Amino acid sequence: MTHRSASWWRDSALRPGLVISLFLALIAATAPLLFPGDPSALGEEGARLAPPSSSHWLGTDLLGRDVLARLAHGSRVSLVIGWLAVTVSVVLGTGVGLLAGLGPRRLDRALMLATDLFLAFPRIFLILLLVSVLRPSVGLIVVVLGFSGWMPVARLVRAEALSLRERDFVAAARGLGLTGLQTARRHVLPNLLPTVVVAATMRVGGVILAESFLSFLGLGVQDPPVSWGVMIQQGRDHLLDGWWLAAFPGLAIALTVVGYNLLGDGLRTRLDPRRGREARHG
Amino acid sequence: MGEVLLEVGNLEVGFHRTGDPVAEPVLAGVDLALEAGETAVVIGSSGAGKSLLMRAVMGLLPAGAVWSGSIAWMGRSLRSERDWRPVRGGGMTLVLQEPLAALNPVRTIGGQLTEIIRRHRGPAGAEAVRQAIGLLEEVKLEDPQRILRRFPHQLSGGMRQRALLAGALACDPRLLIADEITSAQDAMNRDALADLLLDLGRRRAMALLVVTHQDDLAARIGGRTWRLQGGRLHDEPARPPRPEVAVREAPPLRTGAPVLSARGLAAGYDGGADRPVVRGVDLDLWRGSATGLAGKSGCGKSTFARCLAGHLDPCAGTLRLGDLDFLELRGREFRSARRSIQMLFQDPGDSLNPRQTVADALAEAAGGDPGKAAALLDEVGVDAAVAGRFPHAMSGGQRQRVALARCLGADPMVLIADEPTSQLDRPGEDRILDLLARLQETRGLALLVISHDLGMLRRRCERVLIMDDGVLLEILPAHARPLHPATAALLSGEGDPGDESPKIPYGNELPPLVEVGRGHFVRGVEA
Repeated sequence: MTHRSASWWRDSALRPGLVISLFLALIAATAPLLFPGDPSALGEEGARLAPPSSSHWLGTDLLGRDVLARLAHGSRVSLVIGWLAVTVSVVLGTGVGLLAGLGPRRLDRALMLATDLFLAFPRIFLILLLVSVLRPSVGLIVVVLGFSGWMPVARLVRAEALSLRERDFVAAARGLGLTGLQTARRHVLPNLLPTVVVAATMRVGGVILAESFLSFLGLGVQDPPVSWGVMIQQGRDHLLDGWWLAAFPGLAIALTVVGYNLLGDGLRTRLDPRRGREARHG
Repeated sequence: MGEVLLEVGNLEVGFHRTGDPVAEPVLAGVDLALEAGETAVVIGSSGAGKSLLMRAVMGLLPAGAVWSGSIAWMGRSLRSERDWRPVRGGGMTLVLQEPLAALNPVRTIGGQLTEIIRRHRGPAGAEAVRQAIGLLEEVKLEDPQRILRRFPHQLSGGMRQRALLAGALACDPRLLIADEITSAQDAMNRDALADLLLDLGRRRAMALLVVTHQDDLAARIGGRTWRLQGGRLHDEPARPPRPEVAVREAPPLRTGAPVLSARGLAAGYDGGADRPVVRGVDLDLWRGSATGLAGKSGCGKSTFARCLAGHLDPCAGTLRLGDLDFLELRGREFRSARRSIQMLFQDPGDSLNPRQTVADALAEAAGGDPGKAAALLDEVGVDAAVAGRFPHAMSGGQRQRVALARCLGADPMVLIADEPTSQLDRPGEDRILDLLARLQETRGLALLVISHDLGMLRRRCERVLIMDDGVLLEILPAHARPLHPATAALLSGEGDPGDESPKIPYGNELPPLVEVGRGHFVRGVEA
């Protein structure tokens, strides 16, 4: 047992992925304790646009607010948007994929056509259209990013369901008189979970990137609350005289994307049943 | 003869674990000697170190492995890669179990064979092609001209294995080591390959070392037999091959209403209604009786079984379950009726949900009643302690019994067992078959056992249906002598993988089944 746990810990992608994502989650969870007070409240008069120093580790912005505190508070918004949007995508995609993979062939064809149409539609155009018509808010961003990201999940789940439906244990379940819905819930879905978890993890980074992109354009989250994208947008005009304004949130985004991709990659290897068998033999 | 080819003395092989200087020996003192032209078998369960032994003999140990002891070829001691290189190929050669992995996927069989011939025998060009054809004929592959132009993926598993064997023979070895080369093959291919090896050994005066975990194969190869156990070779007494059909007394032929009754059943896969896989099958199953369905792989046995169990809609025919017209049932009626027809699948590793415990699976089968699990496990002779386990924590035999318990949870009238023992070893096979026979009595089950092993079916069933190319050719009471040529071929376990048996053309009227004896029907013969 110790041997096995040691072997996954040595896994090249899983360990850094876990460390980074847990570290980010910890920061997000403890931000109000580490940096009490409103991160958007005006700072002291004399500390505007101050470079990193011992009193402000990552410097201050135009209004004298501590960049580190804003970064920590911003992680809450960015991560929440990331996970909520991915949840929307995954729930929607899993539903569509299951219906297509397990349902009648005609339904499969219709759903896959719809998936292809959504994929072909320029997603960024749709997002820009929506957020420029409606008032941008955290809720809207979650909905927009969630609804524009379900297609790859649907395809993945459909492919997996198509192969699972041919397995003997699924046939056995039908033979016991279970309905299609019961079979899907008890026998197909639990075996899909590893795939879905990996897909979800891999998407979080991308969604956080999309959120900051929207905020950077001024179409995303509106200050307050603060998100990393908002911080980069505010730092855009001071790249020369206040590089720390945009550089640190940029680094934070990069770290998050890399962390979640590594975590997803590591989980994929870890949850692959073939690898599991190998590990049992070795 | 009499000259010692290979001599292994006190061979120990172990692995260096990182951070652990002590090698754990897998082989602890193996002694082995083989004379020219001799045939020998090393038998051992998986993980016993068989393949490691063969790799050590060939000087092909994986990185991290260390060995001690002595390995000698024709009296010369082999210590380093330089000693081994001239011996490999023309001296001894190794054929492995994964023919697809051992062949180069992007080159034709002909290209690969002629290259070996050029390197080991000299000739190139037309002469090499001629010799390649000779080799393919030697391994009994039909139409060698055509096979030379084929890529590995265009051949069947059995054909690939033979092509690989032809490649090994191109080096004209004095010792051929066959490592589990039949383990991925069905029983018929396995026996045919075994006979081919023996034949090659005799004709080429080549020594054979056959490595396997299959007792059947070891018995068929015969010769000197060792069992690899606990890192050592033990002499294994020669065992008589499985007794031929011990025919039972003529059982009473059933009369009265059958439980399940199929008439003119035809079925195919999507869009194949004009080319059905199974055609015009009539079948009656009676309470408390066992019927066998025999045929070679791909003959339509499983498709037919799937039809009977409601997993596949037939494209023609009728199916009655007691008083019900099974094919007309829909929705809730269909779901409750199909519980009466349960199916036991071939692969116990696939027939249980990997994320469901035994207790949950059995409760689900019993219609949500968790109280029945213990009684069901008891009925199939599995310790109730496994109830909390997931399938991966059980042996193949246990899984198959749990799958059977799940079938029983639905309280069926008909049980269809599709090759229920092909993944199990001999004791496991006997246990499952005995269990089925007992359930047939205690529960009054109507059994349909599907297998390619006609001998086993004749021992275990009252009558056997012979299917080929989707058509029933003979209905054979277990005690009767088979008449149809296809039945005879099945019984002798022959039937080349490349063998194209006479096909019954589509669209034609089938010749009728003629009764030639009491309950004995044969298609297309005069009474």
